[in-house]
Amino acid sequence: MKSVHSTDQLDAIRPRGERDARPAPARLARRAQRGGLRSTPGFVLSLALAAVLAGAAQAQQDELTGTLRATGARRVALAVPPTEAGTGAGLTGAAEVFRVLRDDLEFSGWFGLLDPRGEGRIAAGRLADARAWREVGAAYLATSRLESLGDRGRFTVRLVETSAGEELLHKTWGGALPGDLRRLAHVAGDAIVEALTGRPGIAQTRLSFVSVHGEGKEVYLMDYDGARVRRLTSTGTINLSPSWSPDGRRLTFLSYLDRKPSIYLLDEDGTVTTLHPKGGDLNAAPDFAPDGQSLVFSSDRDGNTELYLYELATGRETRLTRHPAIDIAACWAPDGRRIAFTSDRSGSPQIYVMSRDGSETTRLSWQGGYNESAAWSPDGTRIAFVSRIAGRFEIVLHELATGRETIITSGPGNKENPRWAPDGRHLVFSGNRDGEYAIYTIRDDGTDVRRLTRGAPAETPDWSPPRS
Amino acid sequence: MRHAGVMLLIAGVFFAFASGLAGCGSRSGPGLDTGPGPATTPATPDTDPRDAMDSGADTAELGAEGFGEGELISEELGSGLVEQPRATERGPLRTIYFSFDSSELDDVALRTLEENARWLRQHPDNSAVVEGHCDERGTIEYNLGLGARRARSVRDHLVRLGIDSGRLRTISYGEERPADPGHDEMAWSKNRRVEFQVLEP
Repeated sequence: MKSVHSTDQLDAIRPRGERDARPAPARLARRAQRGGLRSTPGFVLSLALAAVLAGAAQAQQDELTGTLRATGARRVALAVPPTEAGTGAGLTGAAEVFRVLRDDLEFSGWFGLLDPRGEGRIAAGRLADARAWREVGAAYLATSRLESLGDRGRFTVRLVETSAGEELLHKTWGGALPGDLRRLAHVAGDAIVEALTGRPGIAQTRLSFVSVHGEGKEVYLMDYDGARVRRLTSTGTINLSPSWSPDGRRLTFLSYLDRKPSIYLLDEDGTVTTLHPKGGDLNAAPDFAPDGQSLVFSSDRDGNTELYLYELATGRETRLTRHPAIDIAACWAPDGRRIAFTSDRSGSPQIYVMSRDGSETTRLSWQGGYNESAAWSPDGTRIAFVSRIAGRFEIVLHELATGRETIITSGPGNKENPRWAPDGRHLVFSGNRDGEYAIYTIRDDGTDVRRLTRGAPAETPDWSPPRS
Repeated sequence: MRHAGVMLLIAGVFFAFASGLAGCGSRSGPGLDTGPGPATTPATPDTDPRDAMDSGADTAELGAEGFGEGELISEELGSGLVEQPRATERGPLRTIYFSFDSSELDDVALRTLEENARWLRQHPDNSAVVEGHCDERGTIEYNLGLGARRARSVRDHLVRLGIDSGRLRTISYGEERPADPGHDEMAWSKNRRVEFQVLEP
């Protein structure tokens, strides 16, 4: 197949860490070499990474953040020994909270996690000793302890830098046990990510989606890691495309509740409101503006599927597109000034970008005959969309500054409906590589694909904003 | 205002976490606050359990989560699934088929629509819902638009053939109601269609 995108293979994407590790100062390189020689296959650190990691270890916290940003380094050598089962806490609970915490840190993509027991090279009694961890290459050490009394639990995490012993985080969270066990791990995981990177983590975020239930499709919610799945609606009809409000307190979605596809709002307290009960036979694909004040959506009320703006406070509507083609699946730029959408005005579906008043429309996708389902990255620099390549639908990232496009998915089945995580480093999508459609997450470099749902088909995922 | 409240069942009970439970106090927990240096966490704190919980360090209680908390689904999605309703050829009006990503009416479609128009002329009291459908390829949202266009294309032609547009309502089901659940061209060709649902007077 003639590749229509600038890169056709996942391995063509160079890890940023490797690229930028080279100019590391000699002192750091020496340390890296030392670490590298000591490394055994079980250690996740590569020589090149260790250079950056060791460099980071020398820096103060704010400098670390700067270092990470400047180098684009993706992995910091972090030791997370097993969670101590403190007063009143059972070993099972401690093991579970530890497993979730480690998984959160692994998923974040920032860290190279060392073996929890230092591969036996650290005495059991020294697993909380920063110096012991430093000797096996850890730049940071996160110790944790779970305590409980009755149905209440407390989870304490302490994060130290291993060479100077500086404490970067020491905090305790409380919740109900066992119900909040995973949340306790997630809130701690996010705190560690933020302490080390200066950016909020995503372990407390959630995913909305729809799944087949009864005779219809209902709206569901789950944690970002696929745990704690719950169903939010019981309509007995088709519901599609739930999409988060910027404050994470509402979902907007399409439903056939009123026999024809209309747009609804679901509040976190369970209230459902319909926005357009009468206009047009199709009202679909709503997306909240970043300020939460309005929605962009598609309607055929004027005889053809066009994009409209709906102001939530006033109910005022503004038509944005005027074209005999299908204009649908709009999404906002994070600055609220532009809107990306799908239109087949060229004869096939392609991605377009316009300003929020409908002016200055330009075509974004030029490769391939079928591009749909745009999603703007949280930092505004990239647009993800779905592209039909060699008969399959793959996810493509388009860099706005350069126009460079990268296919991040491969393998069997279709991949659809990409949506960004608030960290801008992960995406969620629906795919059918294993048969029925399921929800998957993926890193923006195409790695770490995780299947989250099992059983009945699950589709149209959206990633919640970070929990405030 | 167009807002019409519709209450849905929220699957789950919304609950707030009890706050201020005994034992969530205000001081650093023992064993974790020894400051920088080695042996920051003794393996076994030798304190009374009560003390441990009562002397919590600035414990941040988890707040309530939005969208309820109850009825977690522990099994696979769709356990106990109901058989999905299958669209079938029904009623006196015949189904129209389309090519991939197309809403154009070919010769077969035009002939079928003439027959359908004849039936509608002979039954002036009946109206019809014109349902646009797509195959599963392509994304859900674009297919909603495509289904709507197929339905409009059929409705507009029936109007050209003399049928009152007031008797024809369109609806798009996108790829949501396949006639054939298969995943090959055989199935897809049956799913790219416009079906009619005749409404009695």
